[in-house]
Amino acid sequence: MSKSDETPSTGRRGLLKDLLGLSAAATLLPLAGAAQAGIGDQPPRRPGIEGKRYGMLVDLRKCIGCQACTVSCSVENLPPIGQFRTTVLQYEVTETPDAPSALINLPRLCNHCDEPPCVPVCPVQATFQRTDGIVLVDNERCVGCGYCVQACPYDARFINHETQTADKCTFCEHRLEAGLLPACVESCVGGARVIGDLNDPQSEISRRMDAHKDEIRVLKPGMNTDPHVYYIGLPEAFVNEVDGQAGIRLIAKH
Amino acid sequence: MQIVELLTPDYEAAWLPWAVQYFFFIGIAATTALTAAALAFGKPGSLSARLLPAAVVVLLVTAIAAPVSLLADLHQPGRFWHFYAHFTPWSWMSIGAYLLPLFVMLALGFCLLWWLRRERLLRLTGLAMALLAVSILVYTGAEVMVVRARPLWNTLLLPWNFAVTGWLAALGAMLLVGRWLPGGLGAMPMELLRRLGISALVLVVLGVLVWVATGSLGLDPSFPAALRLFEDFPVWRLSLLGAVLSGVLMLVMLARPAARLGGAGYSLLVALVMLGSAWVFRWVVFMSVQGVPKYGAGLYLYSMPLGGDGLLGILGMFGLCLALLVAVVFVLERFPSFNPARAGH
Repeated sequence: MSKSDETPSTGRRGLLKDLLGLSAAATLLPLAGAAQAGIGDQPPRRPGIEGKRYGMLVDLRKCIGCQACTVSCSVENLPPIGQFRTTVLQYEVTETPDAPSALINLPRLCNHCDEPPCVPVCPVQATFQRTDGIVLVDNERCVGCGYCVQACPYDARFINHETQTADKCTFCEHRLEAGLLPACVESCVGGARVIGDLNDPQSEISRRMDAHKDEIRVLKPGMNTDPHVYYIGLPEAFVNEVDGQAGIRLIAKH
Repeated sequence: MQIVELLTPDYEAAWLPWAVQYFFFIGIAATTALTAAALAFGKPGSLSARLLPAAVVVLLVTAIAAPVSLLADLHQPGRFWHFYAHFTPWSWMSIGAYLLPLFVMLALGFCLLWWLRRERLLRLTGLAMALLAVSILVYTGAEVMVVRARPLWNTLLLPWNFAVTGWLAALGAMLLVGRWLPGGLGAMPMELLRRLGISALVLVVLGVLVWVATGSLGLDPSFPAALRLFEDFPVWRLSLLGAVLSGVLMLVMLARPAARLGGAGYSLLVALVMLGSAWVFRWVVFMSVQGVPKYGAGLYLYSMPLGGDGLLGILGMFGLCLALLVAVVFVLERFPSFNPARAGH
């Protein structure tokens, strides 16, 4: 109220406008959105942490491939053994035959895309996106059809063997709401993972992204999903798909 | 630059062999429905009328079997009612959840009317059923086609290929079941069946040619994606070779005089090849393509479980079809609604 005390007239008018806007948004827009949503269109988002748009910046120069994020995520979110919401893919890269090989560590998680292809395919609206950009699954509604798993270009989703429903990274929204960092960010020894509000130009992620504008890449930009996990130091050869020699894979036995 | 994967997870197939079974049976059911709806307009004793009994039996069996395998492909089958509690018009799968029961009910109604010899009503129901059958072919095709994350599925030719290989399998199924119906293979209009089979095969080949042409012109990225698989992996080359060989084999078999199809062994072989090709096509489209990494190198190894999510599920579905077939044949023998001489009444 202190603001409206200083400028009473604009404050009141602003309030009225806000109220009008709010009621219009609350009543008309979702309806209009639902009515206009053609096949494959994004349905209206659900309420999230107000005013924010979460994103993550992964600085590959700082990732040492220790898998602390993989472990802490598993401890925090308890996916079944052998299934991961986040993990660090590791590659050996040799530029020229004589050159020494380098190790590329590529942390992977849900990209919380702005155009998430997993959301509109869900036949029961169990998976949805919030206004803060976080894509979630209501696993009490999910029928386990696996359609979202297919639709995700990033292999970020899986059918949890214990719940038999779709599972994925949530940006640890339960921790964010309590003012904590996601488990993977908290445990990252190199500080390679930065999460924050992209709507706030002063947030650390915004400042870092601004400072490294030209070096920032996302995975599979051609999918037009507008991913919100950004990488610094991602080699061109890793942007779309890896053309190389397949290695040993962790195979979940269940 | 040489890249070697050191540590990457194995991403499992989210769609199980149940999906192969569903798309196999629903493809047969929908194309059989279209065929049967047309056959129902044949005059009594005509070639069309003589093929109708086999079409009705195939329709009945597959229209019941298809939803069963679809239900089993859900990891939470008990929650199927969520489809009806939360209608989602922007998802093809949700739309399909409404189309499928309508189609199945019309198909069962059609079979019942045929049995009751209500010809006028049969034709009317057939028209409605044909409309629903087209919608089923559209939804099943579109549902898979819209998945941009898998370039091999993301092509307009996929719904086409599902439909035409489904029809090929449907005709094979009619050839298969005809022998157990009153009148046996002798009552089947083999020349008509042969011609329809060749038509279906021509449509399959047409789809492949359009795919190759549009792919070569750079209009369809699914073709170069497939080409890369054929170049890189022997197992994919093998499946390409298998597809070509089975196509040629079917053409040779169907090009021979129709009288040959009357032979019990020969017709069984032709029927199984027609059914088998359509089934293997779906296996490759679903299970093999899910083994192609979206991001990583190489292929994922799919080892089929022996239980319900794998072999037992596959065999179980064929067992269900067999049980349904036995029941239908039994009923038709005890309570025949037709005799071979007056078939179609």
